[in-house]
Amino acid sequence: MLVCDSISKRYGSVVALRSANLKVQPGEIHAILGGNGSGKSTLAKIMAGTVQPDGGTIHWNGVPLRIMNPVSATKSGIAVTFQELSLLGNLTVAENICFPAMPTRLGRVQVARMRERVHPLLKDLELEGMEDVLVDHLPSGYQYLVEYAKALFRNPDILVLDEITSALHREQVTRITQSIRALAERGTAVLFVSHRLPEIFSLCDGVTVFRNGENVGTFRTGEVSANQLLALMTGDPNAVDTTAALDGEPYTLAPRSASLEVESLPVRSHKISLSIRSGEIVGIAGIQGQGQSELVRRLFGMHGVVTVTLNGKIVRIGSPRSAVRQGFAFVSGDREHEGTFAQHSLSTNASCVGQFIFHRKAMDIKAEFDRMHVHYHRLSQKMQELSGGNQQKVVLTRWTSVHPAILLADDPTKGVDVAARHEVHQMFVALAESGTAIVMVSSDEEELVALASMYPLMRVLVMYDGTFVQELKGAEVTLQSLIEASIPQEDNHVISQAENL
Amino acid sequence: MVRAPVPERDVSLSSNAERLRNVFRHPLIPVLVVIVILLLFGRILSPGFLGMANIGNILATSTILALAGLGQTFVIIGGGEGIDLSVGALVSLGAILGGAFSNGVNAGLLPALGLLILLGGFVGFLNGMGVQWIGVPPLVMTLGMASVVDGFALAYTNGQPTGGAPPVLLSIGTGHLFGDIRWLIPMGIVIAIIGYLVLNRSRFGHQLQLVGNNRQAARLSGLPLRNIIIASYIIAGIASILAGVLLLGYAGSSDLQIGNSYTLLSIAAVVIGGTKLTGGEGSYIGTVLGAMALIVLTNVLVAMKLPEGAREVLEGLALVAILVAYTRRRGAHRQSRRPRMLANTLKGEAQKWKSE
Amino acid sequence: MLFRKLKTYSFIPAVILFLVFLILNSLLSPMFFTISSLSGFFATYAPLVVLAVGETFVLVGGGIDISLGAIVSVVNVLLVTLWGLHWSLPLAIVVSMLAGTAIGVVNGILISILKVTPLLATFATSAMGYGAALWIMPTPGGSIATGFANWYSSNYGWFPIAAIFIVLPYVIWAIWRGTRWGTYLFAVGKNEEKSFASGAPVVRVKMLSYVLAAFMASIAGVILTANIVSGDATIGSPDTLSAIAAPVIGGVSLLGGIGDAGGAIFGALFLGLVVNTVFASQVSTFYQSLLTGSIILLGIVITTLIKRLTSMKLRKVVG
Repeated sequence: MLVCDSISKRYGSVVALRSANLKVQPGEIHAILGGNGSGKSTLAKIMAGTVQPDGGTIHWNGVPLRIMNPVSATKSGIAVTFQELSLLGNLTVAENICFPAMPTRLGRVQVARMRERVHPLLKDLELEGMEDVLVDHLPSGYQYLVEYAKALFRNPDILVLDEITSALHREQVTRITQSIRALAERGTAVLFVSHRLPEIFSLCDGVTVFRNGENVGTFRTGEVSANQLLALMTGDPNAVDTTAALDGEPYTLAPRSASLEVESLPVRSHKISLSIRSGEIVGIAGIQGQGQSELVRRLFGMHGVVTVTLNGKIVRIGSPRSAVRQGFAFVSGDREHEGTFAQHSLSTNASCVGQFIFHRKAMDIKAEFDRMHVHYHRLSQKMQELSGGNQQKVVLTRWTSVHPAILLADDPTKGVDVAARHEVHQMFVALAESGTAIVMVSSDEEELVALASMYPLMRVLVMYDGTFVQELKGAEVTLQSLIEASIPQEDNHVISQAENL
Repeated sequence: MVRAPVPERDVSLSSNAERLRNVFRHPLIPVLVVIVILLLFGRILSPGFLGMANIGNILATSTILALAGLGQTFVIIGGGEGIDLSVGALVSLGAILGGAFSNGVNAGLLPALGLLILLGGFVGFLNGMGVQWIGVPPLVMTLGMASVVDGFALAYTNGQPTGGAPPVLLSIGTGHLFGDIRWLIPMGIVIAIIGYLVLNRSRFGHQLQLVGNNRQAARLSGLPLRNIIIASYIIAGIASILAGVLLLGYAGSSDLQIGNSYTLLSIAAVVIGGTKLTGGEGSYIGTVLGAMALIVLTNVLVAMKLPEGAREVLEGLALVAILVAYTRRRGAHRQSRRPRMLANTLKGEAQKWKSE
Repeated sequence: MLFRKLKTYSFIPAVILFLVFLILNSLLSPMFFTISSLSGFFATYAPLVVLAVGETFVLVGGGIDISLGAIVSVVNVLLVTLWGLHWSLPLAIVVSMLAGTAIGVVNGILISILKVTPLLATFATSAMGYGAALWIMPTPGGSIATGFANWYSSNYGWFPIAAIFIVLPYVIWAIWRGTRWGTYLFAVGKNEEKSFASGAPVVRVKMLSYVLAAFMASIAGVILTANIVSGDATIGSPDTLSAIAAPVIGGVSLLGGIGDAGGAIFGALFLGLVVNTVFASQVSTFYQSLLTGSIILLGIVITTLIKRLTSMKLRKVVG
C-alpha cells in the first residue's frame, strides 16, 4: 500500500502542501481532485522527485521511499506523467519512451532493440509505427499518449497521472482508460490527478479531495456524490454542480450594419466565414485545439496576411501592428507569455498600445483601474505582484483606452478567479454596449453560458476541426447544448491526420 | 456566485527593516560594492590610488568604455538573445577612420564625425536587419559583421592607419578642464545622462524595455517590434564608433586592433551593471558603473606591477569571482520573489474554486 | 516527408556552400586538386575543423564556449615551451593537452554547477587562458620537433596525414552520439528541466560537453603547433569566432538540441575554402579579409534563409 504521511512543502512564505496524507491500495485507481493551487500538482512533483518536500514520509508496502531526484523516483517504482509533458521534442518517440535508460551494447544505443521494446506499448495505445517519429512532429494529443507510454515503460508500482486526459480526444481517453484499468488489475497503484468529475466517477475506485494543500476527505467513488466533492473542493457546503440558469431574455439583434466580415479565412485545412456586428459578443466554443485560437490569431494578423471587410471597407491585416491600427484589440489567456510585462509597472502595462503609448495620465489610469476594480497599491508597482485576475484587468485597460472596434479574446479568463472573471465579463459587456464587436474564444462552457445570460446580444459558434458546426443564440446557449455540439459523433479525422505524417 | 474581491496582499514597505532590505536589493548595489572593494584594494596596494589624479584617470577611461557599453546595453535590454559582438570592431574603425577622415586637423573633425555616425548607423542597421528580418541569431550576425568591419578597416588603411587625433580631440581625450578634472569626465556625465534619458524617459526606451521583457506581448500590443530592435542596433553602431573617436583622442593614434577588447568588456560592463543578459531589465547607469568597476579592476592589477599575462589571468579570476557572486545573489533574489507571485496565483485559484 | 528528411540533415546548406566554393576554388587555382595543395589545405584547416566539432558538442548541449581560442593558445605555447625545456614530445603533448582540457573542466564547473551564464563564464576563462599563455610566452617564438611537424604535413602515399584530423573529430562525434550520453546531450540542449525530470544526469552532461570541447580544442592546439612550428600566445584568438561560425553555417542551432558534427566540418571547410578562394583570386592582400568576412557573413545569411524556408514548408506538411 502507498502511504503518504504529512507531506509538506513551502515556497518561501507560501504553503503549497501542508501535511498531506494519502493512502492508496495496490491495484486501486485513486483520484486526486482539487482546484489549481490545491497542492495536487505539487504532490505529483514530489512523487516524481523534481520537487523536494520539506517534511513527511512516503511508504510503499511498509518500506519507506527516499525520493531525492527523478532517478531515485524511478528506482522506487514511481512513474509520473506531467501535465506540461516531460517529452523532448528533438528525440524520437522510442527514444523518449526509453529515456534515460536506452538499451545499449558496448555503449552504443541499440535502436532496433529499443523499437522492439516499445512496440507492444505503442500497439496498446494504437500508436503503431510511430517509433521513429520525432515528438515535435506529433499532434499534441498523441504527445500525451507518448507521455503515458513513457511512464508505463518504467513498469511502475505507483503510477501518477497528472491531468493526462485534459488534452486528449474522446477516443484517446477511452484508449488510455482501458490501459489504466488493465494496469491496475496487475496491481499497480494509480494516482489519477484530475479535476474532471465524470472521468473520476467512471474510472476511479477512490477519490481524495485536496484543498489548500491538505487532504480534506477520502471516499469510495460509489459512496459520494459530485456535489459533495465540489463542496469539499471549494470548502463551501452550498456549492452545487450548476448549469447556470438563463434569465430567459429574448434574443434580439438590433438592425445594425455588419461591422466585420470575414470570408474564407483559412483555419486548419478549412475556410471559415464569419460576420460580426458592432455591439455583438460572439463566443467561440468547442473542445480544445479545434482551431479556435488560430481563428482569432489569424484575424489579428499573427499568421500572415488576411483581408477582411471592416465597416464596409476592405482592409488588409499583415501583422498585429496593422491590426491594432485598424482598431483591433487582442487579449490572450496566456498572460505570462502574451499579455503582461511582468517586470514593468502597472501604469506602463496599462498604457502601452501602439502609437498611443505612454500618453495616459496617472489620473486616467487610476480612474480606469477603479472602474475595473483592479486591486493594487501603487501605479509604480510591478505587474508580477498582481494576481492573475487583476493582471488581466490591467491588460484590458490597455485596450479600453483606444476604444477598439473589434476585440479578439483567446480564452481571456484562463486561470482567473471567479470574482475577477465576472468583472472581466462585465467589462466585455460594457465594451460591447459601447459598440465594440467582441470575438471570444473560451474553453470553459460555463463561462459562455454565464456571459450569454448577462448579455442578450451574444451568440456562440461551436467549432470542430476548423469549421463551425453549430450556432447557438440566447437561450439555446446551455451547458448541455454546448457540450453536445462540441463533440460530433464521427471523429476519425485525427487518425487520418496522423497518417499524413 | 460571486465573492467580494479580496484585496492584494500588502507588498508595500511595511517597516523600516524591510525598507532597508529593499535598498539592499536595489540592482545597483552589487556594482557599487564591487567598485568600493576594488578601490580599497587599490588603496592597500598603492597609497596614491585614491588620489585625485588616479581617480580622474579612472573616470576618464571609464567614459570610453561606458560609451561603447551604451549600445550594448540597448541591444541586450531589447532581449531575444540580443548581443552586439561588433562593438570592438566598430570602436577600432572609429579610431582609425576618425584619424583618417579628419586627417589630424581640427577642421576635419566635424565632417569626420558626421561620416562616422552615418557609417556606424549603417553597420548597426545591417546588424538589425540581419537579426530582425532574416532571423540570424544576434550572436552570429554581429560576429560575422565584426569580421567584415575589421576587413573594411584593413582594406581602407592598407594596414597602416593614417592621420591622427586632431588637436581638439586630443585635448578632449587627454587634456584637463581644470585641476584634475579631465575633459572626458564631464563628457562621461553627459553621456550617462543622455543614455539614462533615452532608456528611461523616452518612448523608445520604454518600448525597448517592453520588447525585451516580453516580445510576444509587445508584438500583440501593436508595438513596432522590428523597428525598435533595428533602432537598438543602430544606436549600438553609432555609440561604438563614437567611442572609437574618443579612444583615438585618448590614445593619440590608432592601430588596427585598438578597440577589439571593447566587445567583451562592454558586455561585461553591462552584466556587472545589473542588466540581465536575457533582456528586459537593466539600466544604463548600471553599465556606466560596471565600466568603472572594470577600469578600476584593470588599474588595481596595473598597480600590482605584474607582467601582462599574470594581470590578465587575475582579471579573468576576478571576473569569475564577480560572476559567481552575481549568480548566487540572483538565485537567492529569485527565490525570494517567486513565492509572492505564487501566493497570488494560489489565492486566485483558490477563490475560483471556492465560488464554483 | 521529403522536407522532414531535409530538416533532419540540417547541414545541407553548408554542403552546398562548400561545393560552390570548391568549384570556384578549382576554377581560380587549377593547382588546387594536386596532392601537395590539398595536403597543405588540410594541414591549415584541420585545427579549425577539430575546434568546430568541439564547439558543436557545447552548442548542441545548449551552451556556448568562447574560450576555445584561448585553449588553443595555451596548448600551443605550453607545448613549444615544454619542448624547449627538452621534454620528450609525447609527454609535452600529453601535459599541454591536459592543461587545455583543465580549462574545459573549469568552464564545466562554472556553468553546470555554479550556473554562471556560458557566454560570460567562458569569456572569463578565456581571459585567464590568454593571460596564462602570455605569461608563459610573452613574445612569440620557440619551435617544435621537426619530425612531428613534417609528419603532420606529409602524405601517406596519396593520403594527406592532416586529413586524419578532418575525419577523427567526426569519428569521435559519431561514437559519442551513438551512446546514451549522446542522446542526453541532445535532450539537455533541447530542454534542461524536462531532461532532468526524465532522469538525465543534466549537470554531468553539461560538464562533459565543455570538457569534450576543451579536449578537442587541445587536439587543435597540438596540430596547429605542428603546422606553424612555433609558439604564439595570441595564435588562437581568431579561431574562437570561426569555431562558432562553422557549426552555425553547418546547421547547428545556437538554441541547442539540433545539429551534427558533419555540418560543422563542412562549415569549417567552407570557411577555409573562402579564404583560399579569395587568396587565389589575386585580390590585393588588404582587401582579402574584407572579402572573406563578407562572404562568410553572406553564407550565414543564406543558410539562415534556407533553414527558415525549409522549416516553413515543414510546418505546412505537418499541419
